[in-house]
Amino acid sequence: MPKRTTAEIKVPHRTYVHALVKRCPDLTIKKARILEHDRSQYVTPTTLNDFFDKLQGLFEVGDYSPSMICNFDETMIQCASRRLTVVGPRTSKTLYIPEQAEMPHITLGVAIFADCAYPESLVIYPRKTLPQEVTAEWLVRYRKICYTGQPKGWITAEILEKYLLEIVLPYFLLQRARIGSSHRGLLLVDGHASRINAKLWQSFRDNDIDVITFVSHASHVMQPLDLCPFSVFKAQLRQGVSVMRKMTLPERRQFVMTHAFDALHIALSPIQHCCWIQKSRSCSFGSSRTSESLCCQS
Amino acid sequence: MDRAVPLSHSAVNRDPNTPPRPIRKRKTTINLNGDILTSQDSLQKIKNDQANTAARKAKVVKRGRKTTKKADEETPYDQMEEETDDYSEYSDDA
Repeated sequence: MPKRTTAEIKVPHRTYVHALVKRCPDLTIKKARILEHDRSQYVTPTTLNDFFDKLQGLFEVGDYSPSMICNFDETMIQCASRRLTVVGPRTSKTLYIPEQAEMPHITLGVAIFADCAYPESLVIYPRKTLPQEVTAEWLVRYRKICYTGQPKGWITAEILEKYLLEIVLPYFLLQRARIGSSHRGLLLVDGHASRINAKLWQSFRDNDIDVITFVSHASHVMQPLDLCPFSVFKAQLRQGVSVMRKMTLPERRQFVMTHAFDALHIALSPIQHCCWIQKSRSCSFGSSRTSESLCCQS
Repeated sequence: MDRAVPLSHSAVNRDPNTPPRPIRKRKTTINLNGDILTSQDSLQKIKNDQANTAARKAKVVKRGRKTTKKADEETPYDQMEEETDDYSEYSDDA
């Protein structure tokens, strides 16, 4: 395996690339996926197996039903990303490149249950007040969205605590009341620093909900939300953005957010659920009971 | 639990020269690396860590000239007007 490096990669001329691909039938041109350095380095079979050992232990004790398994994570609402085209083996499914510079961002927090249910999603604006595009009509149209602000548009421990205690935890209790639900619940989160909050997790413990973090830098491999809903969301978000060229800035902002909410609606639809359960059935939602149940509902 | 699919993911690093554990950058004792956050041990560790951090911060006495910091009224979102003026990057419209 070639040594992984963060050094700047020299870009060959386009004609050279096309000639190379023409000469070598085993190669093809594909659009690259962006992967941070740490993710490319530290996701090893050892770290993944350690996580599965812990998860196996939790499943044996908790016997969670799909309606009580939830995954929460954030993603960025970004329309301006340019995708690079790279050359790689024809047999490879995905090719990764290091992350590129990004514009100031708006964060979208999503919690999703394994039975297709999901509570209100969270939008974090990089400002103190709601922007002008968020009108009363907008709020009525997108009811399953709640808003907050932070100077850089990032999630913080306070924002996470408020969202999980006021939105996700009550939703867990609603889910528990459903027929066939297990008593114990499981929440899967990544290892972001905002998750260091004893008060928050004590509340979940008091309500018999276990919380486990994914292994560092491995959520792109392990996390159900990353495996399908967020990838569908981002793919939808990239579509039809050329119309923005003729728009004024307020129109663009409104377009991006409307486009993002519609993309989220598609990404969280039951059809997409079937897809992500198939992808993650051997990851977090590993029991056959979970997969069968979800396929029936979808 | 079938682990084959994630272990065969194209982004998994199988380079034998890579250390099996990530190098920690965080200064706290909390690792959040596949931890069960609702376990008694983790809760106790987080509480201890928060207490230690609070004590460490309390010890720091700021010495120096007083300056009046201007309130941060402008955020990156407000500055987007200048920064994102060029939308010619949207070339991959499907």
